[in-house]
Amino acid sequence: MSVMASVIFQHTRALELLRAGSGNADAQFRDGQLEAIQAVCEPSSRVLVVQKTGWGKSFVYFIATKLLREAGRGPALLISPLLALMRNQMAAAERMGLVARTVNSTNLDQWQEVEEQVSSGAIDILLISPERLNAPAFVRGPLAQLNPSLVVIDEAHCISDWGHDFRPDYRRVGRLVRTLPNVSLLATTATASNRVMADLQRELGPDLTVQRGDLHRPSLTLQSLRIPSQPARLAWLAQTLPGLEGSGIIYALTTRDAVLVAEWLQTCGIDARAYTGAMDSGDRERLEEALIANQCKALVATTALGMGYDKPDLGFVIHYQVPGSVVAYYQQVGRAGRALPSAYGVLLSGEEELAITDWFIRSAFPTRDQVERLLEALEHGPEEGCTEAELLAQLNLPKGRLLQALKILSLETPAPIGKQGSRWQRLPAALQPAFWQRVERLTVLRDAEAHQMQAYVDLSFGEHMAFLIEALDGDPSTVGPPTLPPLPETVPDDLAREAASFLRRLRITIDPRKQWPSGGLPINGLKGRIPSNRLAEPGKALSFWSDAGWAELVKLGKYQTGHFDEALVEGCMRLIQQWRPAPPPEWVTCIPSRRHPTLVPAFAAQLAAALGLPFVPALEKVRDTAQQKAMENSTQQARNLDGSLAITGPIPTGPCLLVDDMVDSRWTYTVAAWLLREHGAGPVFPLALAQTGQSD
Amino acid sequence: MPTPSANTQAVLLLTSPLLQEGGRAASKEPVLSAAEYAQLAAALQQEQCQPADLINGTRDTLLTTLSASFAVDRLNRLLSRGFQLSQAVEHWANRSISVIGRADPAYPRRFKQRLKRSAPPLLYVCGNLELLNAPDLAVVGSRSTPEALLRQAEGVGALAAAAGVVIASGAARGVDETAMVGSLAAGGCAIGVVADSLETMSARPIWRQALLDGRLLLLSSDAPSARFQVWRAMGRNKLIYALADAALVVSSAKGEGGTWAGATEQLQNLRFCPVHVLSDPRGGPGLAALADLGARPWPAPASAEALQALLRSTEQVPASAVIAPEQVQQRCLLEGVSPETAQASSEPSNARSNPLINEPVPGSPPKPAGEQQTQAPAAALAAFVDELVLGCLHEPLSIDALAELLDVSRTEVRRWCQRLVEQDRAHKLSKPVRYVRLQPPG
Repeated sequence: MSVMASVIFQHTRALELLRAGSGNADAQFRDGQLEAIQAVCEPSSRVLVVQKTGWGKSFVYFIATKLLREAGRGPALLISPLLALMRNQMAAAERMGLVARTVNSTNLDQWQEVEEQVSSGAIDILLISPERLNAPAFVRGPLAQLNPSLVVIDEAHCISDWGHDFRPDYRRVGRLVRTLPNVSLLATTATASNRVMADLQRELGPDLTVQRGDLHRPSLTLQSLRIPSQPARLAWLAQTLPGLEGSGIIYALTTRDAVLVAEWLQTCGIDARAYTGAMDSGDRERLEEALIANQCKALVATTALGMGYDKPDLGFVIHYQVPGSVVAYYQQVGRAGRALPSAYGVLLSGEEELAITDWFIRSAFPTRDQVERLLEALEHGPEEGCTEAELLAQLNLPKGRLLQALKILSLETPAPIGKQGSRWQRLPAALQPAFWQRVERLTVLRDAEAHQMQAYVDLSFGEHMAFLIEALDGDPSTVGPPTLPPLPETVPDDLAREAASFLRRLRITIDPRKQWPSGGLPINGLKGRIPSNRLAEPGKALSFWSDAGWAELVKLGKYQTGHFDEALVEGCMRLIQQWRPAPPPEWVTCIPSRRHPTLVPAFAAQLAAALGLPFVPALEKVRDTAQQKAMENSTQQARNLDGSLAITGPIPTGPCLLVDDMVDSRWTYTVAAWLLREHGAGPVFPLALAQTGQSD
Repeated sequence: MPTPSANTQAVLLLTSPLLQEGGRAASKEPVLSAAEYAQLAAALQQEQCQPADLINGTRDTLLTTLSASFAVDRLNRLLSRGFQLSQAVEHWANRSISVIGRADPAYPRRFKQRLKRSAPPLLYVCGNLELLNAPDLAVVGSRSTPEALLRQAEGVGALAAAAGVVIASGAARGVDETAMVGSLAAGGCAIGVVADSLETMSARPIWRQALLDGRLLLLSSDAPSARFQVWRAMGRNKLIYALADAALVVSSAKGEGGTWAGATEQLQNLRFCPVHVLSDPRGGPGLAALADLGARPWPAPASAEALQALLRSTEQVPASAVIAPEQVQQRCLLEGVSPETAQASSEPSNARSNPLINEPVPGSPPKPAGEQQTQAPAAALAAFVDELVLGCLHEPLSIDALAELLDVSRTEVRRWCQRLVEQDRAHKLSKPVRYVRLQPPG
């Protein structure tokens, strides 16, 4: 390697590369691209490029990388949150003659080869997610010796607290680039409000070169519609989609809704497919490609189909519910019509969205109590630390919450906890008060952002684009009228009725168990088949435990507030109205618990009052049992209950509603129903707030 | 946690393995040894430059200038580890560990005064740096020390706590840990100069509360993930004494081991501070032998005042050839360079010589009076080298490994090992060739 200072930036070569990469022999640089490339090629430069999606940020870093390599400098490292981006852009990089590789969960089999290429210096640009970047394998393993001469951070707004997407790993990325001797830094984003810019300037250094483009998307026709009820919104979609040009994306807030909307549209003969983070990456890749090739009308997606998804001819982006912030909305809707003369961006607003958004806001961070208990457990744990399984056994926290708390705390600097191998240890640093200040600040911010989106919903047709640009501190003066007419706001009644009945069918049924476990229940003296007059009736669950929405409220009540939210009473009321159990229950009772003696009874009493029925606590727990969920199989779950329940005294004889918070193995309902029937009660209808299952 | 200064960043790039563990992974591009770095620092000074100039705009020009006497490709590759550096600094900060360089204000003044050119270019620290300014009693001893003597060490720790004296030790199990915990448990303070991984050590529950309270400082001259190595333990002893106003040896083997090597080095050579020994045969034959070499009997101060008085009285005892801090600072002011490079330039003849052969032993001349004077310099060096090499050969090592460890040529190492084999003090293993020490009979 020559130590002589070589001239890295070469105008003619850059243009050659642009033409090779784009496959267009007459291609010219867009406004600002060439200047950005030149800035990046300066030694130890720090450049921030704010340009809307589709402007061609990738050409800036690919061409800069190639020029650096041709001048004998080290490779580039591209930190980007999404696989979609990586797959799409690898091809363009290769056309320029760059050796571009990635390591992610889908190409485990290639890691070793990539490591060897890193070590031999063959790689020109390595693409990696922030999560992978923070993994010990990258920090200490062979990939750590990449020694890039250029680091590119895509979606750099995530570094800022004010960026919409809270990704814990980006916090570390922001700190990483504060010290970066002898390395150039390029940060790119499509959206940066003044506040985000100020943050980035602070994090990335005072000598930051900033290039900021125009936010206006003239091809987009924006519209907002308030359609509170789910069936009406489903009907609107079914009516509207067939008339829209091309293919597009429908965004939903939860996995459950994405699946539900896709199912509904399919029953209406529309080829819409669900795309969620719960799917494996192979399926997701196939879905992305199907949309790119216009092989389906729409993907119904959660934010898992996110940043960097690159389809220039996307005809529409419709939101089934209002997302949490203007930044998030602009990013998502901005995918439509990038290379089309016109496209629709329609925002539907539903009654459930605020509860869901609120849940996302409240659950973004662990609570003080959870953090205290976690730190306490580690403080008094063994010297070598605790595994996650040990912590789960010790702390009554859902696994997801525990993992989230561990991750967020360990990404603080200095960190109060850290991981050594598979064990978590308490470290010699207190959790800084600034942590909680930040949590509060972000929570307030998120609330304000959600409100701003509600203001957007209320805009009149034609006002939307200017509102978004102003909210993002851009210049709205160039915004003209929408190019397309507004879509009809009416919802046909027959379709709405059909959607309503579709939704009812989706409710979760709790099937009664008909047989005692093998070996029977010796204490209760039960074995074999359960006589039909001792069976529970088919019951209902309000939600799946793994869903957002209702189930999150259930978790909140059970693990945090100690009482179930009023909204759950309303949800159950609506469920019962649609369900119409027959014969109609005449009284309400519930499953007792020694662990939470008032949680479910209080809720059941509330529900009974709302239904205008008496609440009778007919059952009691006469023996402590281990937690049902700790039992590893059905027989153990049933045995665990044997002899634990009893009838408190005389009970009404009519049909009853049997309420519990969660249903998993159904044994508790089975034993309780048997007892109630044995003591003279009529048909017993189980009602649970959430069905657990294998998901958590 | 503050970002390391530009000078410290440059020194990290040149001399630290960063987050790469052990010699294997990092061996692709070995970092500069202390001697190589000293040579570079001297050259930089001659160019009126600082290490920081290797990571700013002047880098390429500077490297071109240096290419006459340095393998610039190697420097370049080390300097290209910028992203590794940022990963490491972030990782350490996350673990409450920071890095300070010789030119940073937080760098212990006594290291610069007493260790001079061999003052470690980088220190990795976790805890309260203020403790470096307090009066300091070093307490050292072996790992296997009888319980009764451990209780005495603990008592000394508690007394130090009452006297506002910081206990400096190695944080290893045995005497080190007991004396430090003795002080911490009594509400006092301690400094642990760690030979083990600083990252692992700082997470140990026995240190955690004191670190949180600001009553403990753990420091190491080696990258935090580095594993324990004998030669480090030996270098570490020097650092413990270099911090201290007085030292107490609680137990010691004779003629071998880190405690012995560290204490004899002080008594015969470095004389950073007075060395005391317990007069107790349970502490091993080394104690009496150290007394013969000039160690003072521990006066067993009974009160905090008595301990303070003991440390005060020792302040008057000058160490050999100390440069006063004012002198150092004055030089810096005059020459407009950091103490970093000023230090390196204080012995220009050594700095310009070949570091592979002539790693200078700090403060060696003039020899102290006493029986050691009768020994010819070559014999003294051979005796020192033998002990050092034997100290490394607790486990079988190849010539290459030893050469890397000691940072000397393989020819030299081979000669030393053959000498030890001839003396029946080491054994040569074959396939592959390695050397291991022979336990002295009895």
